[in-house]
Amino acid sequence: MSWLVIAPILLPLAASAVAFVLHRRPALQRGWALATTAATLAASLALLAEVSRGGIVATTLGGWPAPFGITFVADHLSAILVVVGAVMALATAAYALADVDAGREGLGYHPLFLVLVAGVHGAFLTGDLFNLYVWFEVLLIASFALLTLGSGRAQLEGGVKYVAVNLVSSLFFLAAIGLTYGLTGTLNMADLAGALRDAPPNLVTLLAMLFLVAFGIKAAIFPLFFWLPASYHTPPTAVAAYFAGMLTKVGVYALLRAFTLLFTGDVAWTHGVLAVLAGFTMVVGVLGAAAQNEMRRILAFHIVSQIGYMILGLALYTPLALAGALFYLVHNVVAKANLFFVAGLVRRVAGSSDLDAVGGLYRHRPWLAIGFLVPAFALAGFPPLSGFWAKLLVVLAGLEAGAWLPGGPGPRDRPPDAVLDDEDLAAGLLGAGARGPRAAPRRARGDGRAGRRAGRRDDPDGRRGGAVPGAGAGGGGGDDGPRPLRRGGAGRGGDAVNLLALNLILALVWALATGSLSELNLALGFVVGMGVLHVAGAAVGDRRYAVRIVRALQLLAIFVRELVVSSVRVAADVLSPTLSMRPAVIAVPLDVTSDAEITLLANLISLTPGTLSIDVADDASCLYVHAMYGGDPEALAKDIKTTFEVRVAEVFR
Amino acid sequence: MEAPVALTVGIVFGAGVYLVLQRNLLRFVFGLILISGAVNVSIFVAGRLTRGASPFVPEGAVAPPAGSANALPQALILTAIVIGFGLTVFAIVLLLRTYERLGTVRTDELPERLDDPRPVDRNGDAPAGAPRPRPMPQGGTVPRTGPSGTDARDDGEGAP
Repeated sequence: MSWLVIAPILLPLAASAVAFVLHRRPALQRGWALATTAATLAASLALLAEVSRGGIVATTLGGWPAPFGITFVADHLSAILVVVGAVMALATAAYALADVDAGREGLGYHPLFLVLVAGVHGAFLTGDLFNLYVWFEVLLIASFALLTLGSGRAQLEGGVKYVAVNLVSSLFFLAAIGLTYGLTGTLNMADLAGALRDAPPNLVTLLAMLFLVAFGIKAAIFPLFFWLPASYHTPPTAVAAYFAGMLTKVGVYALLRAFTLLFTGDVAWTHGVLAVLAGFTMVVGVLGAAAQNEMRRILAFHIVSQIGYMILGLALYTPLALAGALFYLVHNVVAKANLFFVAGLVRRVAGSSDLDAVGGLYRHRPWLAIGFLVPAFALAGFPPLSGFWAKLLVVLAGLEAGAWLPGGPGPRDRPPDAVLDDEDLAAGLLGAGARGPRAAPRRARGDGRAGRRAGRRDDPDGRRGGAVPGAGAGGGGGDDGPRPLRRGGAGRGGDAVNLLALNLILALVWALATGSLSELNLALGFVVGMGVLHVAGAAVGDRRYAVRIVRALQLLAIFVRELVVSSVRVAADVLSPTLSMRPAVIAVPLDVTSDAEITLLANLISLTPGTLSIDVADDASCLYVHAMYGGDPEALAKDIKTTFEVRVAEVFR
Repeated sequence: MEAPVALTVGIVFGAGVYLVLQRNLLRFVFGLILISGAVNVSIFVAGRLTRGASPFVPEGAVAPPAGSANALPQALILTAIVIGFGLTVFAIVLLLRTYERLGTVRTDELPERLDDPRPVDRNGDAPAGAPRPRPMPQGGTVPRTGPSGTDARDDGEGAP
């Protein structure tokens, strides 16, 4: 049996026991942690060298042969991740020399951190599903303690969420393991790969989804990521950086293992689900990050989006995509942890990591700014840096897989792929857009934040009292406070005009989106938009929008008809030698009431040859009209009412 | 034999999920305990319920004799129970600490207590003279009428 495989686990695990014993000697503890992580790094480098030279290294514990004993396996994936983990552990241990205060050291920061490192490496190296669960729990319990060490209020509040969600995830994982064992009778991953191939495919897919939930929570993919931005910004920087770099990546690693080794039977379905989730993860993570204003919160939220890229690589499931996902993983660990380190330095230097408060830092500490810029550019994907190649690989793989689709026998010929590329591109664009301005301080938002915070404080009062008038106003218009639903003061006619404008815009958007500005297409876009607005009636405040538009078109047609008829009649009268007109001013009693209705009616009357609106009665009860043919005033008034007024009323009500 | 056990697992699991969905985090932890029990039993069932001899390996042999019970699920469950015990204890202690520091274990009240902390000193114990944290909230509502101190400030702003 090869000790090399388990050395990266055993070293920190044994060293943590020693560190616990040294708890009264903080200086010694620090040196010990540093030495241990350095030794772990050396051991993992040796392991990587061994794997590169001689292929997969495996060992079984207790002398039991492979499917029965617990196996530890190091292939390239595991070995690379262990090396990256060891590098991060060493960097974190060095950073912790200055960052972790004496109180936390006294509470056992160093031993806990070593246990965490052992747990992460164990998860990377184990070849047994149940053993993976055990290592998950080892790293979880250490991370729970590290996250809440010191019992700051924010730490506890974030820690409760983190603990709760991760415990649920562990139970999902355990339940999935139990069902897997019931189905196949084995938990050795290599053995499982074969056993699951012969198992009933629908049950295997069910298991795959259970594992997806369990690992998805750990990896913080959409929609299971909410615990991450809620907790990662609270602990000391050294802890947060290692968490940000490594812990979610353990979940990603588990997903990579499960969906490349175990669940490859129904790739079209399982990886299709992964692809959709990856798309949402990328977009939501970036949007969430863009909405934050505190450096560590931005970075924490942004982890989510980056996880999406890795899962996307897994979901595409081509060799290039998987290589991209792995490269992305490694790149992200380093870049993200670095950014957290720099954020910690900013906090140290400026006393805050709120972007509103740390403006002008570049002038005082240019080197700090450059230290931030390099990993930030790497993360954003600037060409010479690692992020560019990582993203390029994933996007290339996506394009390649998309190009195969129309008929090729690619590993994944399934429809969601086309959707996926759009999402990928959208996420890429959003990411580029959101990253740029984020670095700049946004001062204008300071007031809004204060108001929001005040509003939140007032919120329970408002809820409790029911009718406490000062609650909302006192909080500066708090966002979270109860707020009466405001209805537009304008009448329905005004709404209709707004909706018409909206409909015209929709028609234009339709025309632009379909790429043709022809009248027919515009009309089609208008009809589609009309349907949309009609369906959305309740939401936009008008339930009869489409009916209204049809009535308006009817009115227009009738007006045109009247126009033609009256024009012909007046023209004939003018041309004929005898004038038959009997001019008169008549009063047309009005049933319509609103200004808009009366204006429209009066204009229609004036525009029709032969009649002219002169005035409206002060109380809007009747309209005075001068008519060329006023021989029968009552008949004329009735004609105007039935032709125009009724229809005007129909349009507006 | 598996069916009634599976049914029981389902019922316990359902009860656990119901508790996990509560806002009171203590109930959440109770729900987790129930679910983890249900999961453990389901692993046990997954190993098939057989009446067999104890799975001891006889002298000189390399495997237990045919007809003995499946030992692996029991080993798995034992591990899971130990781990689950540790995690549950940690979760309960964390809740206790949270209650000491923030004065509530209800998820919807936690965020606002960040800005509106109860009177607690650096060690988390209430200083002498200040009101102790109120007893654990019972049921759905939490009384928020403190006799004095910060509670009064809190109420004074909101009341007309």
